[in-house]
Amino acid sequence: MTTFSAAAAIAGKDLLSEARSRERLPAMLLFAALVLLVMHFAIGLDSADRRDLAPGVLQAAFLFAGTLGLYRSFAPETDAMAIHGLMLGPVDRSAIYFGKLASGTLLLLAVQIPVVLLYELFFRANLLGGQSVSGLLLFGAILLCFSLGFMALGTTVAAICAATPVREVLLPLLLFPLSAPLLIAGVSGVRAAMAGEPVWEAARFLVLAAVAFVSVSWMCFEFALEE
Amino acid sequence: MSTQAVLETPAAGEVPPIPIRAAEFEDPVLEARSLVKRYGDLEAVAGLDLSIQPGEVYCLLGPNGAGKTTTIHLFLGFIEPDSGRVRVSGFDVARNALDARRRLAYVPEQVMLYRNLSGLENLQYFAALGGRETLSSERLTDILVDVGLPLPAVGRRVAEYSKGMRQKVGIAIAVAKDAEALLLDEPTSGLDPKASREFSELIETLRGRGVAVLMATHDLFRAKESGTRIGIMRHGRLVTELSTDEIGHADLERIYLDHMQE
Repeated sequence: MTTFSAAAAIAGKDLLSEARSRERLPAMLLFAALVLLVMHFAIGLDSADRRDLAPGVLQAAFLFAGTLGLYRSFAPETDAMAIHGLMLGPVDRSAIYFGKLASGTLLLLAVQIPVVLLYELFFRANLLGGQSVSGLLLFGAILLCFSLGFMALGTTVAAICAATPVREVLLPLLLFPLSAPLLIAGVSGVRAAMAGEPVWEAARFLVLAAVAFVSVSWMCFEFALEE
Repeated sequence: MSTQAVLETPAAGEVPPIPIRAAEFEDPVLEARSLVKRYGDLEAVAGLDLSIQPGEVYCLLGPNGAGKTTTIHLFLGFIEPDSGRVRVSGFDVARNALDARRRLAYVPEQVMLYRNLSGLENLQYFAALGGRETLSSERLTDILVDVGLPLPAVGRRVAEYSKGMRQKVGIAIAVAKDAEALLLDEPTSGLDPKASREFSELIETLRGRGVAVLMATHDLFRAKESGTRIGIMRHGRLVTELSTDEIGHADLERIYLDHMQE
């Protein structure tokens, strides 16, 4: 079995399991929506800074929802000791990493789409309406690269934390500082999109960051799994 | 004849070599030589020599902390030995991890299955990871039924399974994978006598197919019933080896307790 087909089998199993249990997606979606709702009222409807603060709110909602998803990323394996089954398969450990990365990224993307629509509603962001087709595609690329980069980091960090009794605390403590470059570029991209300005700069940075984070996390993953 | 995996050097332009196993049918499937594993000052496995042939069921007995599970984890490659070597069908677990894993199946006390998937979906998934993705659903269903899972349970979620049913799916994974060696860690712990008996019958079937079985257990009765050889471990060492043909249940209990009191 090739690494690609093994990764596809692992991602398929994760998504099928999620479709049956609905343990992660509804919680991620609800939490992200609540972040938007709380911040919508916390910032104030008539605040002059509303448009400046809104992009950060959106990225923070993605960050929190993604972290919530990562808490349960390795839970099916650790709860059922099935991590041994995964490790015993004659597949490269890379397949486990890319399988988990694919399922995590798809789940976060599935959260991002409705959350962006809610964001439009709450913050009158004009993110989608004010963009050309190429602008919309670039904005989609920003969301994709943010998800990919965040889940690339998160998959390895979640694997490290999965075996520890304090994983709920450890995961955000390790993950949030490491995610700072993604957060900053994501905020910059959303702010540019809201202002109707080109989002090239942010998109380019996020592509590079996603590639770098996937590469480094992939190299570290085997050691994380061994532990 | 050596069991060591041999790699031939390819000529330019040739297909890369695959490991070749020498004297495949004469060599032990599971082999440990001078195996040592330490955790700090504690020697969990202290110079273990073990050799298990095809069609042999080797039962490891010993108290908690004797090194039984550590030995199994060393064969599985979950941990690395401090010294010595472990081989599966001639493949060094450290050097040829994927080749070794391809030939192994593992059934622990709590079988590793995904609760939200059915028995069949679990089997499809683990068979695919084991390189048997071409097996059809019908064939996999047959395997599950052959190991004693009731047909109506095949499509039900594993969360609804009893422990005995989960153990049967674990054995079905070994069958689907066409494993040459099966490692069992306390497989009958917590099973009722009927399920335990059924489990022994499955092991007997696998033994008849030439699978080498290494089972760590506290169950002296089951070891005598299922095993062909028994090794008693203490403080990481194999203190005695017995053939089950030559001893009775009472003898085994007496020998075991004698070794525990020394």
